[in-house]
Amino acid sequence: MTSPNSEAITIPEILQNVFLHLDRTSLHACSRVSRQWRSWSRHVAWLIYHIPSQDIIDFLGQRHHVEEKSLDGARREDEETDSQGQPLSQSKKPRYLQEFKSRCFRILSLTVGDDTHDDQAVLWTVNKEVFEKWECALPTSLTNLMHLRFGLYCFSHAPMDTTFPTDIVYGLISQNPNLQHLEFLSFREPSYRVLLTALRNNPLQHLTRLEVCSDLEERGLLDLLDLLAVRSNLEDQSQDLEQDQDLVSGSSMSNWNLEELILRSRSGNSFEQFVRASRNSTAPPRPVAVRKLSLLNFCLAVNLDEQEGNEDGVFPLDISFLYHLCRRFPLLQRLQVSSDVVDYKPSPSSFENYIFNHLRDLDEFETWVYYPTEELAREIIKACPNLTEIDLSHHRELHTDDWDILLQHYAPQLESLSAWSVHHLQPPDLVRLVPPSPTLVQRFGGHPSQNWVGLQSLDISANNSLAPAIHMFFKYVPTLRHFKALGVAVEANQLLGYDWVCTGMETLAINILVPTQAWAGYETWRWNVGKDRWGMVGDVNESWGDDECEYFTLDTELPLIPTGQGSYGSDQEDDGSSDTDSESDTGTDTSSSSDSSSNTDSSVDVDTDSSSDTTMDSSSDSSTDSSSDSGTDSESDTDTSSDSDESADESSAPDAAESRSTGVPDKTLPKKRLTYSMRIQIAICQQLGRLTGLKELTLEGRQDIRFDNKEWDCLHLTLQTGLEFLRPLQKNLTRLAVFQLDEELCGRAEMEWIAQNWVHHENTVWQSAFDACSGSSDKMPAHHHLVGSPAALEGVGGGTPVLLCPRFRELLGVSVTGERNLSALEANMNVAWLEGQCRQLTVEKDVAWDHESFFYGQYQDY
Amino acid sequence: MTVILVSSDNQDFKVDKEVAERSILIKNMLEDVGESDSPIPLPNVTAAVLTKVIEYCEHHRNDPVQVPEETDDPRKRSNDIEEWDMKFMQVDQEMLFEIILAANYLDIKPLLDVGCKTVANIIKGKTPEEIRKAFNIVNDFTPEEEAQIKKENEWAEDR
Repeated sequence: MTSPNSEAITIPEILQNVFLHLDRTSLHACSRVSRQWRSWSRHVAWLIYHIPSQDIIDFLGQRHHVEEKSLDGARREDEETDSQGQPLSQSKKPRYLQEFKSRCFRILSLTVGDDTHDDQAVLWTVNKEVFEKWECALPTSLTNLMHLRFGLYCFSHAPMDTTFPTDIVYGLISQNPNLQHLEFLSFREPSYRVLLTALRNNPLQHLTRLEVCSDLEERGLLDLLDLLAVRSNLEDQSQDLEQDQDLVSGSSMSNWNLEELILRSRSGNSFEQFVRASRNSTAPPRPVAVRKLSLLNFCLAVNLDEQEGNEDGVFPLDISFLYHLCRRFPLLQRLQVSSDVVDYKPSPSSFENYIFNHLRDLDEFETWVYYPTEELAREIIKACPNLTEIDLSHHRELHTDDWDILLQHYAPQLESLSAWSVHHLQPPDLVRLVPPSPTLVQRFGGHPSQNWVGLQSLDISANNSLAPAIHMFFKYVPTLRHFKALGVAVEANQLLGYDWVCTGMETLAINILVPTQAWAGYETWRWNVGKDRWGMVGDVNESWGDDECEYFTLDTELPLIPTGQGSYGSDQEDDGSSDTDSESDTGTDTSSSSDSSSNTDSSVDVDTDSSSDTTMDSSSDSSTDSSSDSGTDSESDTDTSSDSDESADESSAPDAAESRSTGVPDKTLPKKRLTYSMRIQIAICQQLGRLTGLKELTLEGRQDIRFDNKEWDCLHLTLQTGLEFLRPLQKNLTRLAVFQLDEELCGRAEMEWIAQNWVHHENTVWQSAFDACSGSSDKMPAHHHLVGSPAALEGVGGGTPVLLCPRFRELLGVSVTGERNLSALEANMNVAWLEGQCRQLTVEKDVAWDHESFFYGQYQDY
Repeated sequence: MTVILVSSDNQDFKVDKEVAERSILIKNMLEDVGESDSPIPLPNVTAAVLTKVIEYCEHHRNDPVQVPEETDDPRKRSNDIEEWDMKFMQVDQEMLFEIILAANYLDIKPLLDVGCKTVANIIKGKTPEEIRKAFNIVNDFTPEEEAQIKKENEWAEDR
């Protein structure tokens, strides 16, 4: 019985709708609330069912009747046991098996077996004697499956001559004609053959997604693609029907509407057989009507004979795997040929180390093969003109010229590009995806890029050469929602001086180098009108004719960070104590800058030889488009590190007003002397704080790094260095990962800030309690005012307030080693306090002293 | 074009047709009636609730129509709630259930889903007793039944 207020949840369809959003643990709790709730929670629980490996034989098989003779010779019935030898009379299983058989018609989504092949699962496997006693016996009412996931790893040690596992595969597919999604995971080749047979012999008209994770034999891919081609019927296959009788048995089968095909190799199978067979075939490739294709963990290397290439070492195009693959999928919208990194989670080990340790070494297995320049890219474009998602990560078939052609062609329609660990992709190629600036478009009176779909997802991790291109996306690609550049250190200067346009960002993984002092000399991108693309100034391949290029001026400077921020929280006056900027470098021209040349305060970086660091070339200057519009028809994107003008700009109110777009420091905070690094960090945090759609944020960077003869810092994420500006992320942020960042989040003030602003910012009860303790977290009991607790539900005023679970759920990698300004004990206590304030918050501590950093290890100056 | 909706307490609401047709019930009514200025009575929805429903429909007027297959897949249920929707649903429990009932009656599936997700989020992490208290549900199990259920759940945990 319920009160009138809860009438809604007495309606079965509403109750079911609620339960569909619950995990199994919550469903179990619901099943104990009342009789009605029990009935519906069990109904929902039965929609999705999992038969673990150890129960497959019991649930989907039946035991042969076995008789044994007793010692006195009399025939005796063998006592019934389950698959693990336990007498059924003592087992709970008969009741559960009966329930399964009576309710399995409700199951829509079934997982059989486990999808892991770890040693523990393998060790379980039954022995040959057990297999001999059992045979496949599927419940006859198990016929309504829409989704079937089949993991046969547990049978990896089963005898080869047993048909039990393959019988189950074949049987389940055959008696479930409404299957829409089929996932098949197996170690063993014979079961892959059975899968192909089952696919051939059953209509499966509704099948839209097929995922196979197995060891494909040499012809495995070819046979599968031929089967799919027949069922796709993209061409008139009538002339080939006779030849295809061995592919499609019986009367003609209806065509599939297979949308998505995913193939994963368990052990790095090679596609050489596929390439050779395709190359030697005289018939054109049979097209397959699949729109999304993923091939993961395969080895694309082909053993080449030098004689197959010409005298210049160039090999024919038909040696390329991508060439043959793409020709078979004319309708492809998503192409993914890469390695699976779903197992990578934020950890003390960097992403580059993960690649090094877990994925195949491209240097060892795939040498540089020269194809005719740009031909491979053109063939891919010709074969698959409709691509909108490309993932060719950890891949070497495409060379730099190919990438340039590909991205130029697909830029208007590309929504997603994943090219991590692709060292042939260079910055000029990548910025093909960046449209000209709005100012230029306006000046042109329009540009085709206005009709671009807009890139939404970009992953260029583990390719440090792409660092110079990153800021272009933050500046000119507003549609970007997911951006990853793990291990690609971008200089903070390049990210400042303008507001990031990608305010809809949901996932961001970025490595930021924070300079400790001002210096010049950054790459510049210039829009080449003649070539209709961005070009890197200083690139020897770029030609800049007077009549086709836009020039920029050298004598215009804008402060990199908002002026008036000489002191964080100050009243903007220079009292002389932090005037490192006002006495900035002398002896340099106006287009160069340095700071703190005369201040010897140990808290401030001192540059006594600023001239050497301020040598200007044509490639460093202001970093906004409007700055170069002064009196010339110029449009460029340049960067500057100048802030020596801050002394001159301190009184410039308009500049201070402009700085509001990049954040205004909270004037209530105590005045702190800021180093250049701190000011940069604050400015970066201001930009990050504008990304209110962020759900996942991963930050990387190291303190006290010397690189390229310069000293670098990183984001510290303290209240003194801009943490406050991240408050707006409370709207959507669920995860912050900082394993690869030398942050200082473990301070008490920072932990309290996170609790106040990211965890309990909507929990008025918690906030009241915290305020009542005068902000002293020591007095605040843990677990007391938790969101959703009965105490928290008591509202003030009319009605019962509904408090929702906090969004922020994961803080991963907060350092507690006590390296900086805090002992390990204090750090751990502070983190423990935060954990106590919200039991739904997952906090992973980083206790590693030394992080293996691929980037810094290789390039760090000594 | 605008339509007039009349709540159960006889309050008129003038809304754009495009907004009103986020409700499949209203959309079907309008198709059946054709071009007409007659107000549409909604006897099951009070003015206060209808105000909230119209607010939701206004905000989501340009959303694409949900594909039925995606919502019917039990594995694809997402518990993500948009920020605006989350703020919208920060109401007292009585209003929350009224909105759910209205969304069900008016056949506004996205609103119904958001409401149900909100209720699901309330349920998560709670014990059966806490759930009963939150929704004022009476425990109608006998002690023997409760013991039996608890025993069954122990086995069914990993199913």
